[in-house]
Amino acid sequence: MKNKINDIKNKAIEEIKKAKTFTEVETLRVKYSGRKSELTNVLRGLKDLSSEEKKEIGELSNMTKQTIDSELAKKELEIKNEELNNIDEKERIDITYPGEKSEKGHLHPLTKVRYDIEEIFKSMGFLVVEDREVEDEFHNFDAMNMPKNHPARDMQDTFWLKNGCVPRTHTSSVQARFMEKNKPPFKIISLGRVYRNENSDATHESNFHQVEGLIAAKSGDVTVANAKSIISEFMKGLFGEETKIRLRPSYFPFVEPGFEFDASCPYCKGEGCRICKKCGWIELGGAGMVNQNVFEKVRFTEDEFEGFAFGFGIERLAMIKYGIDDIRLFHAGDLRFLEQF
Amino acid sequence: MKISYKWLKEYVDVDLTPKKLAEKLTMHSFEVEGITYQGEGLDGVVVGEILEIKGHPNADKLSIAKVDVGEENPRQIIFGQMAKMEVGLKVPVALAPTILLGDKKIEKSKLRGEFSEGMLCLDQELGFLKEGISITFFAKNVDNGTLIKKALNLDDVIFEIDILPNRAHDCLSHIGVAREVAVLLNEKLKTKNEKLEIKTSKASELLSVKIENEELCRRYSVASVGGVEIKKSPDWLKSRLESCGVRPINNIVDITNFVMFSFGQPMHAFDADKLQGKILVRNAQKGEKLIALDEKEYELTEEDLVIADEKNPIAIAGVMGGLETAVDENTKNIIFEAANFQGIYVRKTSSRLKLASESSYRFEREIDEELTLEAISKAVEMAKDLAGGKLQGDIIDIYQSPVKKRNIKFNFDRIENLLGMKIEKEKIFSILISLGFEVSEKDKEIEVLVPTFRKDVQKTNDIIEEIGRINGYENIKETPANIQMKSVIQDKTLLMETNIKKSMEGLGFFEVYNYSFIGEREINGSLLKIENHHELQNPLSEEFMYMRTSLLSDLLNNTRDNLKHRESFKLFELGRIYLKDDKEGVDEKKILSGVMVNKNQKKISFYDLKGQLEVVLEKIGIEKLIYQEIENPENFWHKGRSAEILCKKKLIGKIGEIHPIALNNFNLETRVVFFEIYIENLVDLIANTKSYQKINKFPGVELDLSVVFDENVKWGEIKRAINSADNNLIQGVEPFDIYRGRGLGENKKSIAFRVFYQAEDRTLTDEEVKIVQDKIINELEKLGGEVRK
Repeated sequence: MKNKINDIKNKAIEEIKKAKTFTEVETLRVKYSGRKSELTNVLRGLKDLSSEEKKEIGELSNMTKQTIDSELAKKELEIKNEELNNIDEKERIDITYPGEKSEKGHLHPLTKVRYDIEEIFKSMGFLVVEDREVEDEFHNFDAMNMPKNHPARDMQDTFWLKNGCVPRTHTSSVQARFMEKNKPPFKIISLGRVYRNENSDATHESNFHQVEGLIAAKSGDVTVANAKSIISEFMKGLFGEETKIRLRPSYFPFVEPGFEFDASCPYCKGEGCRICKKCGWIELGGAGMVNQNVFEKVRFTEDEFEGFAFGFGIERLAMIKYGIDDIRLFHAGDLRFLEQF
Repeated sequence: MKISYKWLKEYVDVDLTPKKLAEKLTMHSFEVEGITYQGEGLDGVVVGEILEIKGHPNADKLSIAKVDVGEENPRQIIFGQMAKMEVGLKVPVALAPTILLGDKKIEKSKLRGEFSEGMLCLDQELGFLKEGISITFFAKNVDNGTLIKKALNLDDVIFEIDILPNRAHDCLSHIGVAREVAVLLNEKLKTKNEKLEIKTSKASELLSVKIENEELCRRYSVASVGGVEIKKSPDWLKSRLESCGVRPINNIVDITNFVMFSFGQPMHAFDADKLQGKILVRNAQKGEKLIALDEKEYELTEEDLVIADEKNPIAIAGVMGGLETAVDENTKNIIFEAANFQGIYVRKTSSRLKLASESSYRFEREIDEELTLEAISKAVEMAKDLAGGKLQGDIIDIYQSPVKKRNIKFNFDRIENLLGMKIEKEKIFSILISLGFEVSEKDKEIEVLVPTFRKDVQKTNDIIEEIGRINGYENIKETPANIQMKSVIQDKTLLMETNIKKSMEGLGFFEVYNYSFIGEREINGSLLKIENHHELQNPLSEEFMYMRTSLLSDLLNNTRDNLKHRESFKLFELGRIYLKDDKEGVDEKKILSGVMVNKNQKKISFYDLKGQLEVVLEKIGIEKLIYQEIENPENFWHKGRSAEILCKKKLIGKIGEIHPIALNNFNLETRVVFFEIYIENLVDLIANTKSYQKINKFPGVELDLSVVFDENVKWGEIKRAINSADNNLIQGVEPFDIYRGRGLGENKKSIAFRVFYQAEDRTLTDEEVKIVQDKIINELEKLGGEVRK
């Protein structure tokens, strides 16, 4: 009987080794390990044996069954692994076929540039403020040292509403509104839409956007040297660390001294190219030390404070940053343009 | 303003290239916007004489000329019909091959079978700054083949300088700019009449002047010049004026213009024999009329100032002279006028009459009262040289209250405090003195006497600006500001807007920016009322007449345009609208609006947009929204498919389909779903803090029910009824199917929904869930619901 059992074991192990598929393994399981297996058949003769022999044969048959089961399990795993090893080939796909995209939204390029600008100034401790777009004459002009009948008003072609209000010609009006409520020291920027009565072409629009900045503190704490530093930091933040700036004298009624500021051309690094019209510099905006007349309008004591104000067009920055050649694209609502940002 | 380099060099020595000079001016004074080199692009253009003209055999509109251009053989040149050509005329000829201004290549070519070896050139093709279409003809004695830049003396350089209002007082003239250049180059100004002594009187036998309004006319100087011969000006004078863009007329008129462009003092010349009696400077009478030099009649008001003789007005003061007393070819005796008028008055009159001139441009900006005598004596001198005229009697000069030089005193520290840079006292003094200021010092103070021509310098900072710019802003070192400040808390609304925009982007929306202006067609098209819109006084066009009160029309236009090349998309704009308040004032509101469109979708996308909008709002903590029918909906809404959105009883927006009538108005055939959210109304609702809720570890139970209702029972009511069945165990209710049709009967719908039950402290038993579900069924039966088995 012992021999019979060992024969079964050896035969089983051998056959299991040869098995190639799960079906074969299953057949072998029935043959060697199931209720009707050869082993079970052999064990039917157990009743004729002595109790000692019964014990011995019983142990042997248990061990044999365990061995067969474990061989079956091993074989099964082997077949499974083999199958998984082949899966890479069997399930190969065309990885160049396009993916299933979910809808992709796009922020407007002016919003993106606006966020860039806000980030840089916020990191320098500026507060972002907003105010009215349609202004009264006082806040748009008079408070900015542009009294009625002053030629400076010719510098901005103005729209007027029938009720006498002004769609603001610059974000500078926010300065006056802010200073009516707050005393220096402060650092603010304001971004928003402004209006000029100009026919549109590739570089002009009647609706566009500006950033206005203002720092004010007691006299001596804000200087032209500080102004240069702030503009320079901003330009580096926007166009890269190597950007240089320069100030040129200019005139805006609400500042004195007044400047225009240029940045070295980010495309040619100042060498001269098509973008900067071969001069190496790009005109970006206006700036200056706040005119004391402006402080007087908001009832600050003359010469107690000094301020530095600056402003520039967001469209212009976006056009330079992205190489856009027609300002009218910003308001055209064309998805073929917008999806590029 | 155009400044001629040759003319400038009469007043100051310049040893720089035009480009270098322009750079210096731009960095220290004012912006040179352009440099024009006369004669640029004219190297291949010569004087040519037309020898013969015949028609082109193959083109009716073309002719063929034989032109003597000083070469051995005449050239054959084809020309068109832009200017009339005749045999014997001498004209500018571009000799092929050459390149004209603007990279225009002229090459030998064949035009319809005939050779052309050059081009007969119009002024405009040569870059001469002239309006319209014109051609320059040369005199018989100019040799054929002479370069036209030689024949025309085109060797000047013209600077286009942007003189802003602050320097318009002193720099709208060649002497003014020369004075600035002299400072920058450390040179002396070479004006001849520096210590001019002019004899003046208050009146003479020939001339008597009375100023009735001294506020508006601060000074009035006139000179009587007799025996003038009116003729063409010499070439040098003509070319001076042309370089400033002014057309030469005759010697006397040209002299007045020359003086203006030299000194910045506008002048006028009257024909003395056409005047009757003495000269009056007075306000116009109401309704008084004058035909000005532009041959148009102007009706004046009492606010206008005129120069008049004893009978009639003869000039609109500071703006333009009258035609009747103008100098003409028969004039023998003239009166030169150089005056000083108040800027505001000139500006008002000029803008009311819509009549502007070089003169009004300067007076509006205010000029130095001290200029008149120098200007008038220069004019008299030139009239003697160029017209043989003689000064009759003294120059009359009425100048009641001479201006005083302004005195500004301040502490030296102010300079460093403003510029952020220390500048040596010596340097400060030399800069100010070179600019014509008188400077003295006392203790720590500097005292500055401002020359009368610097009307812009009024306060301390104005003086410091002069020091800063001449010393050079490039010499100021960038220094970080050191200001003690409290921490900065950014505005909640703006941060919220950023979050909203980013969510919209994440959901696949395109952001658009549209104009704030709209036209009547857009307002009518979107079924809004014109009278609710603010109107512009001076719109650019009909499409830009009104301030928008809704973003709808813009978004519909965007939708239509983009549907030409897209089938489905979603747009949004966060912008402002401009409503009328009760006092006709402007009530500005920020609004978030969006549209969704899909050409291929049959199902209503109302729910798609509703769902996505809810995601955006939930992201900023706005939840538990109530939708109800719009009270007084604007006409553009589809009334069966639109809703008001409320949160905590506050109206925060509206959503719905746009009525097909409105869509038709925008040529849209596809249905559009639209929403608007009122940004200001969100601010108080946004959740500032979130608090953590413990995660429930006990398993929940989901049970589905299918209930048949009448069609008019809304999901909102059903949901409310379900929730009212139990306060603790119902954690969520979601519908997942609606069925209409067979087996239900007319006007019935079957709604299938899933209820999620869960307790916080235990695993629920089947019995407990059953009890609640029975209660739910009970509640739904009250709404007429019938559970489907």
